[in-house]
Amino acid sequence: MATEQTGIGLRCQYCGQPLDVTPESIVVVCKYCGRPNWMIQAYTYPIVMIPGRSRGLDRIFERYLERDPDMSGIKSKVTLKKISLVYIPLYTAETIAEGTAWGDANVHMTKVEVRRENGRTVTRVRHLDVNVTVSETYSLSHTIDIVARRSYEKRTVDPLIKYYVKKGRPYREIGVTIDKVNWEDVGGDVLAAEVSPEEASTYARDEACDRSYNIVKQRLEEKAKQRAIAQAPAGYMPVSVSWNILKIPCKAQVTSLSPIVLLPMIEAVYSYEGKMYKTVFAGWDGERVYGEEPMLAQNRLIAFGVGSLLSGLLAGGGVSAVLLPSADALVRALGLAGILAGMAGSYYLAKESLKDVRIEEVE
Amino acid sequence: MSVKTIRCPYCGQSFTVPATVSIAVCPYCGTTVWVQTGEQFKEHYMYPVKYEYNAAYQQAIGVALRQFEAPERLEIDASPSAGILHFVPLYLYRVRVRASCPDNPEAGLEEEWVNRLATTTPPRGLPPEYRFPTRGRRFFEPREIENARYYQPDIDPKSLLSSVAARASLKAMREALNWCRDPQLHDETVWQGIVHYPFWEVRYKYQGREYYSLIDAAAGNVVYLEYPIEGAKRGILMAAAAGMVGVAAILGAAVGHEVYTTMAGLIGGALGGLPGAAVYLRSGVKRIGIYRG
Repeated sequence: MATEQTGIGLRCQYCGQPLDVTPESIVVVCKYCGRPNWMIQAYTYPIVMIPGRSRGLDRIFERYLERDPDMSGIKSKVTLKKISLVYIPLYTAETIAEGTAWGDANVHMTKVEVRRENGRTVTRVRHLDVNVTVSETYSLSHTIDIVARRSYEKRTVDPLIKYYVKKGRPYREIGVTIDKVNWEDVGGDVLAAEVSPEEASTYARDEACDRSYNIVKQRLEEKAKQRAIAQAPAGYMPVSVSWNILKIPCKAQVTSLSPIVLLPMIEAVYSYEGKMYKTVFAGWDGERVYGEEPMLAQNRLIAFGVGSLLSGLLAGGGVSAVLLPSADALVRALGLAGILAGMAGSYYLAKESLKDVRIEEVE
Repeated sequence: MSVKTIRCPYCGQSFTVPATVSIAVCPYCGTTVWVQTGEQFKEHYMYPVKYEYNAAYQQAIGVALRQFEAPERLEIDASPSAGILHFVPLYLYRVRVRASCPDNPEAGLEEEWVNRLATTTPPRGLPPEYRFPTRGRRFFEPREIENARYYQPDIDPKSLLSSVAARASLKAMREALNWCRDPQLHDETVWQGIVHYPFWEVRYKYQGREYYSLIDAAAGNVVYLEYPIEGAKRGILMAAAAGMVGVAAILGAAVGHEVYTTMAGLIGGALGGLPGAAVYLRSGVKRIGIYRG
């Protein structure tokens, strides 16, 4: 039957308007009336909306043009093509990851000896490998944000989430439960949640262990280096750690899972001299979180100029240092580094000068 | 190669497919059927076309104009010459891999959804590792669209099962190795169905030459774009190449004069500027630029 196969014919149980349903949808918030339609009738979960603004979006874009130092100079040539409000469903999980990690490592150590022989300074480097065993019982808390979508446009959504986290995840302070919002003021396109709370918890536990792995590994490396210093003769310093065995078992649990938070995102597409660019704003305060901006002639000239300057100074100085008759090994090594840095600088900045767009994101 | 003739249950057109495939896609309306029984294949999805041809053309020109080497007059002088909507088949997999230890049956557990190209001949410019940004697949609706091309999958879905689960398997095993020496791997990955993903092939003409581009018709981004490199811009790039080496050499000479000799610094500076000059020259000698999104 066409209705079963396509999903068309599924209508909002509150207002009767068509619903935008996908095969993975768990809940679809009707874009006409704002009521949540759960795909499995017996199952509901709290939904909190951070209200965005559905009207006056043009003003948000105009304010950005006025305030941004790069855009204010060209704003007369900028045309807003499209601007819309979208809500991204998001969970936040508080997790604890625990375990007892241990490892057996070889720590490579070196000692630099400087002596005077026959009136000349002689540098000698001595090497030593020390075997150590270390362990650590850990308990790490992580706050993990999970977009309730099978896949999403990371390029624009990730900066929005980064900004939301930077602002302290304010869903408790400014969030409103979905049945209490005034849809006329805040309504927009709500992306259907496709990840259940159980799936979000599974993902959060996995992510908590992944994040813990790198932290614990680093701690064990520090411990290994300290133990090696204690065991080695005086003057030896650790340079690197290579693991013979490294075990970091992890069990994580979710101590609390937030409601589904609908995070407002304003997407604007504009043109400048026929070229198209996209800008994304946080929908609750209008702050720009992701922006594609034109590469102007001055941006290209600056990149060209800095590239020429850096490469000339670094590589010019580098070759001079390498060829200097009185230079020792250290000076020659620095000179070589200068040559390579100069070449890398000119390559990187030449590519920068030819870029088609500048991307600015929230810090 | 032997072929089988199928009659589409939706639009009635006849078409042929290799006898070796188990699923056939009608090239006229996209309806997908089991070859053996002729029954419709139910786990068939699509991503909706959110960008119609005009919008896709505007995207292509908009991105072309952003390129430094492209002519400013492209917006006025370019004209659309062809538009074909390609429905590219993907296989959808539910990856579920479990690595178990005697005292911990889920010592390593990975779950994810993965798309893979189901054809060995995707449209030109689509990289095999393309990440499909999306706002949700739909159940497939057959449509007979002029200038649409529905691709027949020519890869056996089961042949991709192990490669699809490879990353997750490695991760699950790595986690389980923290618990026991010899974890057992259980691969519960299943093939979930076929998804047809739309791409616009947009061709445009500029000064007698035709250029090709590929636009994601669901998300709107430009995947691949050819654009003309203007003569005047080629000249600027050549000058920039010479300029970078020249300016770097002069600055290097000044530093060299202080440190050792002017000549050493001059040579060093010129050497430093060479990679940058190569970047400018690479574009400066071409007539057609390629943008990959």
